[in-house]
Amino acid sequence: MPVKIACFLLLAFLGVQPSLLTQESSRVTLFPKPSEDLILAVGDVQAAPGSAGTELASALETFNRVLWDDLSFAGFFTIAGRGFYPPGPIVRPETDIDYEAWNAIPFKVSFLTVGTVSLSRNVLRAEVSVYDMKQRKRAFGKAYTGDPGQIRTMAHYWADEIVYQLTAGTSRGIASSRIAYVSRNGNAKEIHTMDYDGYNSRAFTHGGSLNLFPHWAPDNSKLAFVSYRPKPEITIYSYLDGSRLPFPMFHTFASSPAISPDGSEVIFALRTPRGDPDLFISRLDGSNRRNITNNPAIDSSPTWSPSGRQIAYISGMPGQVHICDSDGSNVRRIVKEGGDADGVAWSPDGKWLAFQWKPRLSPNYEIFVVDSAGGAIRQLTSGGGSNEYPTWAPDGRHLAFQSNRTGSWQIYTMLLEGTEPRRITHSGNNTSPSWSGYFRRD
Amino acid sequence: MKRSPVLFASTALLLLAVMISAPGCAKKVSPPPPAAEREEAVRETPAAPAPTITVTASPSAIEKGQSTTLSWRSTNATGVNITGGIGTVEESGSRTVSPGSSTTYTARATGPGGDAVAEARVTVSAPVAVTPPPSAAVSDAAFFEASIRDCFFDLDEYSINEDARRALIANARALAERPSLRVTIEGHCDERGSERYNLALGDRRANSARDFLISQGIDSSRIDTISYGEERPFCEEQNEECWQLNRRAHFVMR
Repeated sequence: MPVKIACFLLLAFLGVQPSLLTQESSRVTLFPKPSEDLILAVGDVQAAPGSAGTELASALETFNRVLWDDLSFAGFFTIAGRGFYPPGPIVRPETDIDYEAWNAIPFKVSFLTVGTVSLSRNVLRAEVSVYDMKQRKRAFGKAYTGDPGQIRTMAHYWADEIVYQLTAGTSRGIASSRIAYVSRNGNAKEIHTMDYDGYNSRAFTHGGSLNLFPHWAPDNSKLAFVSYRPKPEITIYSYLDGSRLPFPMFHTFASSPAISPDGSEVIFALRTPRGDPDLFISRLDGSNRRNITNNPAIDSSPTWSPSGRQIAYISGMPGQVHICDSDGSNVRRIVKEGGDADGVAWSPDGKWLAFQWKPRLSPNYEIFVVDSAGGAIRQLTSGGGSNEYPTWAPDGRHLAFQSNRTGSWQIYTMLLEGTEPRRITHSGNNTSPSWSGYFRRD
Repeated sequence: MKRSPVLFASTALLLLAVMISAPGCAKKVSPPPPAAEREEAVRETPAAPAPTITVTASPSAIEKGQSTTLSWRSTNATGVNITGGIGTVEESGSRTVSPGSSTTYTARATGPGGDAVAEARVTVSAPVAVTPPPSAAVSDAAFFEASIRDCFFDLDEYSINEDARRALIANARALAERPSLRVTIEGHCDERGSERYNLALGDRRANSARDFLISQGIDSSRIDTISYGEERPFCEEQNEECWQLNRRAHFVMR
């Protein structure tokens, strides 16, 4: 079976531990597997004719590594193992691609990505193309220019373009998306953002107080979070210019903001005069505030359905996953297993709720999904430690979460099936990931 | 975790306690030897005058670890000896001593005219961590430190259990006694719940404690609350003892 060979070699060349191979057989299948008809070969980009030097060599190496990681993590196609590629660099594809040699390898490659990079007067230029190996012609291509510091971004853009084209728009590609999270700095916690692979981390807040539970507006234009000023208040910032939007301060207890899919409203938990937090929805300026849940239990951690018509949230002690309509009606409990749940997150396609769950006295949570219409819960993580606060990538195929499996809290990403877990933060204490929407524009 | 205001307050309190419990230089003058003894001595050696001795300890009451000064003065003596590990000394002088427990120092003057004996008692107390009776002289910080206690919660609970009730009743009495005192109650949780849930639970705990104080007649304007959830643990080990310490309503002075 050519596909199996390709898969095996992919894993072998990535240096993946054998344990992952055995995990394959027990993986939960929630999505169609990567297309077995669509096999992608990822050829190395080469120095453009007349361009050379150590800085260019380093850029080429980075581009090739990042592109490979992006495409193999994308989860949409089978990546052909490098060991089968016919030898010889492909600089001028029209003459350098030896279709006969590609035809002779034991499986049929559908598409091949190739390209060149030049560096001139501190300007990097990447010209990249995908070739249709059946039609034996160029399928599509792009050119990117930037300064040498943007080489990773170029590779991410190209990976996203390939995903977008080869999935016929099913996904716009997550390689250029970002993840907001909380990073501890002594007694303070600050909001940071980073690329989806953990690179290019930047502090977003510098207040020196506690900033918690960031949440992206679905169009990435804003970040909502909880900030101690000096009590926990709902805080919304423009991600575009870094300005704070006016929003009322309650001077009591407010938590867990989430901006609606259409970007016009925010849901959050707020202490009521009765003393317990209920869920409220208001416009982004705080006006038109209305009570959504109204019961004496702790209600927290709301998440919008992609349509904006429903809310999933956590209620009770210990926490249970509930759903209601966005006017507060039609409340029902979704997860029947008891135990303790939090961090519920609605998938972009509306089909799944991801959440963290544990038996009541167990110290560790695991990440689960349940059909948003109810049903059995399915466990995704098993990597040790406590695994918490899942957040969906905009393609609905990946999740990020926090885990203390290595002893400190760090952010991880994985495919929805629980496979290919990647640790993307490496030092300090990092929690509460929120995955942005797509950054790539059509 | 910032605890320096608390440390400062307890140090101030300690100093205050020492000042209150330490009297001025109360000189203890030993009584003269009994008359019969003196008469007998006079009879036996009429030619030599009888010795005299006085001994004092200043201060006469100390805390364990502190020192005091023994001073003595003798007349007509050829030798002076003091008990309590001091031994033979000059006719008049002083020594710094630091007894570990209450001690009576006996000074004996010996001379041709006979012996004379005097005593000085040094009272040693355990270091005082105790509270002086509240009074206008005690600062709010010292009063707060001495009178206000944190209360603790059961797992996943914000209701006031029996122990918490006792602590809060005592806090309510103290707040009633000191109307100038204003407090913030911080709600804290152990790390086992989730962060978002714990932030809400900490808020409920702080407010349970606040509501209880209000039910005891304390004006609500004097009590503020804030939740820290599991963000500011008092103890970072993973065992029940530690978790219990972290499930608390922590009182701080405003």
